Amino acid sequence: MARRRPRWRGAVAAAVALAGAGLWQGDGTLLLAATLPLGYLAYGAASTAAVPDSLVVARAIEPSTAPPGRPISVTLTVRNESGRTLSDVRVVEGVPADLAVLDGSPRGGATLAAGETLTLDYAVVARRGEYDFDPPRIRVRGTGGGAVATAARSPGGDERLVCRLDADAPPLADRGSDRVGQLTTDEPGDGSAFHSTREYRRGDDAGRIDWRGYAKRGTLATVNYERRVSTAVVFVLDARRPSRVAAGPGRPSAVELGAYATTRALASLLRAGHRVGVAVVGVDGDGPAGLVWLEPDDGRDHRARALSLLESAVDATESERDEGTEWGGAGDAERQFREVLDLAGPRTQLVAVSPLLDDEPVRAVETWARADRPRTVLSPDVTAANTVSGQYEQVRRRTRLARCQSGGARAIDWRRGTPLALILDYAFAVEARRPGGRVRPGGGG
Amino acid sequence: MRRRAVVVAVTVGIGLVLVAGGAVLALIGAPQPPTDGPGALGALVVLLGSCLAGWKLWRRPDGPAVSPAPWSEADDLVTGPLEATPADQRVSGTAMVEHVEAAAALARDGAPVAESLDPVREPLRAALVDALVRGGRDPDDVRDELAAGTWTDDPVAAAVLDEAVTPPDRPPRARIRAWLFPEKAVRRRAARAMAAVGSAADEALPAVVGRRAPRPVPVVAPTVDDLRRAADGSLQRSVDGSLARRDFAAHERYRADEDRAGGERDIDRRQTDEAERPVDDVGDWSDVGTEVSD
Repeated sequence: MARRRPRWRGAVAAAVALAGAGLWQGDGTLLLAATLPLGYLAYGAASTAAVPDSLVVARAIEPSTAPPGRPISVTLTVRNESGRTLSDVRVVEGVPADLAVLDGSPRGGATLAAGETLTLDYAVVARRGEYDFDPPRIRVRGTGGGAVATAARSPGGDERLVCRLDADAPPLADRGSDRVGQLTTDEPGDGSAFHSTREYRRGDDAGRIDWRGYAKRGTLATVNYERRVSTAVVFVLDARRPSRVAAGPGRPSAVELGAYATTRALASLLRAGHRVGVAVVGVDGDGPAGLVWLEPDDGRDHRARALSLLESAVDATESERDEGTEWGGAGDAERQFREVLDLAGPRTQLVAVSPLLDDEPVRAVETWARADRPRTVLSPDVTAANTVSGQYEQVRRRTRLARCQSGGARAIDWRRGTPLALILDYAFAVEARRPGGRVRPGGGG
Repeated sequence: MRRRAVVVAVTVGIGLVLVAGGAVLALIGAPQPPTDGPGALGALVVLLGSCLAGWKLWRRPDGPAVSPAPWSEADDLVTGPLEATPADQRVSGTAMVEHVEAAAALARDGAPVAESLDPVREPLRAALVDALVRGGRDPDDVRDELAAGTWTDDPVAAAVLDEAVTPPDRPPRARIRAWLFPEKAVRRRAARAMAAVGSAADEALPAVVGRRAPRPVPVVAPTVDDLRRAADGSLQRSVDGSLARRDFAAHERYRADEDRAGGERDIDRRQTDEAERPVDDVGDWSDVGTEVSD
């Protein structure tokens, strides 16, 4: 429905003043001048406005399903398919309240001739959850600006953004050969990647004989391949209060990013046939020492259980025992980190997923080192580089990473802007080039 | 619709009457205004006209047929700022803010700039010593370097981290600026010291897997909500009142050089230099731009 917008009240006053002065002075010029503001008044009053049905709205959300931290591009188009020009069209997108617009603008205005399109491009950053976009509101003003009409138009296309931890995790439908998920050992054996050669022994498979070497040297040798082993890995997600922070308003927290990294990595490991467990430190669980604990296991159901557990950890508030203290229940956290050591078997690899914003996870990794456990630290970066305080936090965090690394742990820095898959591949590729080590991921296949 | 037609008709009618009146007056010649002022009728007309004009200006029409002003809460086009971010979220990197704010408060209260930096000294020293020692340096050597100011090539930063280091001579213009705006000077020196600590830590700490991995995903820029305008006109993060690290030291040196050059440069040269100097007054968004380099 069109509504009137009072605009030319000043013009009425000006007309009255000019006419009064003209009458008083008997000046025809002033009387004629009084018609000018009246002209504006009449022009504004004569204008009409309506939001035509032929204004077609469409929205595209790319991607509409994403993991936390992924920038989401939203494009809203408004096309004038009526036969007339709309002199003033204003559009305001229905952005969900919990999502922050971090690039571009969700509002715009234009004059739309017949067939023309107004496009709004903006970006939001995905945070875990499902978000319904409201219909955009459209306002059309008449040419004179004296009337406005406002309407909400349901757009075609996407209406919902789904942000899930397992949005880009590989499926478990078939046993794959992901680099990330494979663990190899220095012990040679059957496989596909070359490891070494040894002297031929009677009974060796003919397929493993080094025929090229035989042609050159005339002696038979047998090729050893990297042997794949199945192992158990426990991811320890740091969900304590110090880790429940983000790089900035509207960004995913370190716990969300850590849960995403855990989901992705455990999916790859399960797919490759390993047993994976999950422990969450910092939220109230029903496991030992108040730990949220999932025993290492494999299979599709196990992945679903792990995902559910991680989602609960992200949504949970921090442990009640942690509340009220700035750095939250150091004693409890220390006990929980130590408990992981007891719960996981002696040959289990431990992967700490923490932003390393305090020393507690570092001490935990050092405790694991004393128990001689294979250990990895995967640290999502949620610090900002453009403030003094952010830079200070970066230096402290880098020092902690170096401390973990010097203690024998494999430290992985997942910086903002680096895709998780890339950082995992990159980390394992670097690791594969390192000499020594009993068990190392990657490299096989 | 009917009301609109009435308004248009009345307006046009009045306009025509005015045109006719003006034409008549033009034809018969302008009457001489009465020497003793307007009569009672004229005064009444003027009074009524003034009242009508004032009423039209004062009255704010409302009702279902009238659209509220676009800036009012009743306007149904925009409800709340769309770009606003959730305010209940905790952000990282707030530990140092307290120290910087404490230093700025000291400067505001009239303490000398060098003394005002006391609150930021200890945390910065601790961070630097930890980083250098973790990088393989001997703790005693690090302390000696701090006392001598040789851990960095920035004498201002060296003086911030250790009182024993004599700060460099500042040109008169810089000293006047620090005297006029001590809080700004404290923030700048704290930022410069942090930049030097960061550079020294970067050089000392061993490489960690992923540190130099490609960063192809654009990291979005901070929103207007995240920013605030500082007293010197620069844009800063609202959660942290300090300036950027990267290129900050270079910019400071540039300013110092400019101060020394003083009146030697003519205005044209100065304008050229202004255009070419490092663009860091508006903060360092290098980690939030579309082109992210490691």
